[in-house]
Amino acid sequence: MRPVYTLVCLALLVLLGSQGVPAQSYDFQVVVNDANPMRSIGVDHLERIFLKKTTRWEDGSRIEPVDQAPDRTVRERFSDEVLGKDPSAVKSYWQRQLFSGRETPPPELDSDRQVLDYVASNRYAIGYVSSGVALGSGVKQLSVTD
Amino acid sequence: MTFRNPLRCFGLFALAGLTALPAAAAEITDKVDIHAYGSWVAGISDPHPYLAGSGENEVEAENVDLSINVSARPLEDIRIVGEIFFAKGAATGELEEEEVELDLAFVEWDVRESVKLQFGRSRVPFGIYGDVIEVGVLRPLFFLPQSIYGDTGFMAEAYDGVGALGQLAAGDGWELRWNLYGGAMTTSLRSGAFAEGEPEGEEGEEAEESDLEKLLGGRLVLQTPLEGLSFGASAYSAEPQESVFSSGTEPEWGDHTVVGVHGEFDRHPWLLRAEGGRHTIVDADIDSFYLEAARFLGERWQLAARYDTTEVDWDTPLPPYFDPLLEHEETAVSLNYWFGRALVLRLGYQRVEGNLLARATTLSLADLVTGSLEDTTDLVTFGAQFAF
Repeated sequence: MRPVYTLVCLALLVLLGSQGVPAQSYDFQVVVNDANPMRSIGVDHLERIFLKKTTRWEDGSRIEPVDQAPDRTVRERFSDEVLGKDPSAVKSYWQRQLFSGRETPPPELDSDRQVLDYVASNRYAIGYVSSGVALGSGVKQLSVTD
Repeated sequence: MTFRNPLRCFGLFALAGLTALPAAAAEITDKVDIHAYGSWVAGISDPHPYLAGSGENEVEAENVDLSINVSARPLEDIRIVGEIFFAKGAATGELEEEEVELDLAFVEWDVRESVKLQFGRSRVPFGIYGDVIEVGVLRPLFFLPQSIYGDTGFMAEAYDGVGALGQLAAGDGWELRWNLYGGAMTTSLRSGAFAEGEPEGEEGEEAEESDLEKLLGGRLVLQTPLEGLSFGASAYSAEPQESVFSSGTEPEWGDHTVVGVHGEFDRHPWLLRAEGGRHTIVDADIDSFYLEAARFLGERWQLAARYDTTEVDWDTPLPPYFDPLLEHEETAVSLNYWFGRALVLRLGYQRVEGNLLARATTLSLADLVTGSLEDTTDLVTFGAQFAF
């Protein structure tokens, strides 16, 4: 049994290593379309996507981030933990980007359900929903790594 | 409303058509975005006209402006942006004037990740406020620092031509944003004096427009790992269509050159910004500097202050009695009340020393020589600025 036990432990270690185990847990779930080949994403990469500083997936297709409404608790948590800004500071950032002609902000949806429906119907989309929300079909969760 | 050329006419009608779409149509496609910003202000100044004040000891309230910004992404790599500006009063630069302008009309091509090209009419990427020059909610006081963004010839509302922009992330929180652009634009300038050394006529001087060709410029902004701290440098050079001061020389490229540096710390509850620059024309140098600070007191109230100065230095020395016409030194304070970032109410006070920008509507040489020209102007304003 001993060699089998060792092999199982080794296999688990390899599997967990390839998943990019997050160093800390976050108060939200990052979701992408089922067709997206990614399994994990770095928090820096996530920040750049949602501030539209990174606009392409690795295959060259355009990333479609989707935000939640500013009064949503999950939006506050995401802004704080990923963007490092409160929602009003993010608002100022987007006003400058928008009116200088640089970029437009991601669309803002009013609920976790709307975000899941949007991501399920758009293969290039990425969004976030509250922890513990059942994802349903067509979307999958990305683990967030430091 | 005037149309300078068919392109402007077409652009206005195209944007009017887009904004006339029923609300449902704007929801049909997620490729079209419509946003707007604007302001209203009432002002009273004494004794000279300045910004929203007429200098006639009565409140001027007919100062209102609205900009409608429309953008669409018809193809994955192509974006089209247009913006129309409607204004009456202070925002036009002259009280009682009305204006409709095509502020933005460009096509943007995403060449590759982090590199874009823009073709058409775009904002001038200069300093802190150049590319958001009319967006009131992005600054701590109602009006922009006039030393650089007023009638000192540093800035224009937009340029027509080609621009490239991008960013380089160096890791560990460092990021460099860059702009390069070329084309043509128009600036406005109050010179303070004329080549012959005397003001022309008895009327106060209007700001002179300078049409610039062969424009070439750029800006670098370095974002540091410290949240909210950034530094930048900007410069452009161009050939004026004609010498503003009619010195008799044929204009050449480089006869209108502007350089500037800036720094910013923007992290709630503090905002600190400073910018300095030099504008060089054939007969003079114009040096400008401002420092502004603001702090939130709670979630909604904000206190802001600014020191702002500019000075015209003529190559040919002028008599000392011209000094008030060559200087502008301003201190300003503002008490602001914010509704999120969408709307702010402001009560402001500005004191100006010098008559470069706060000038009597009638001016005579005798006033200057005898020193009877009042060189201190006070302005009180109350207004609202919004964006959505």
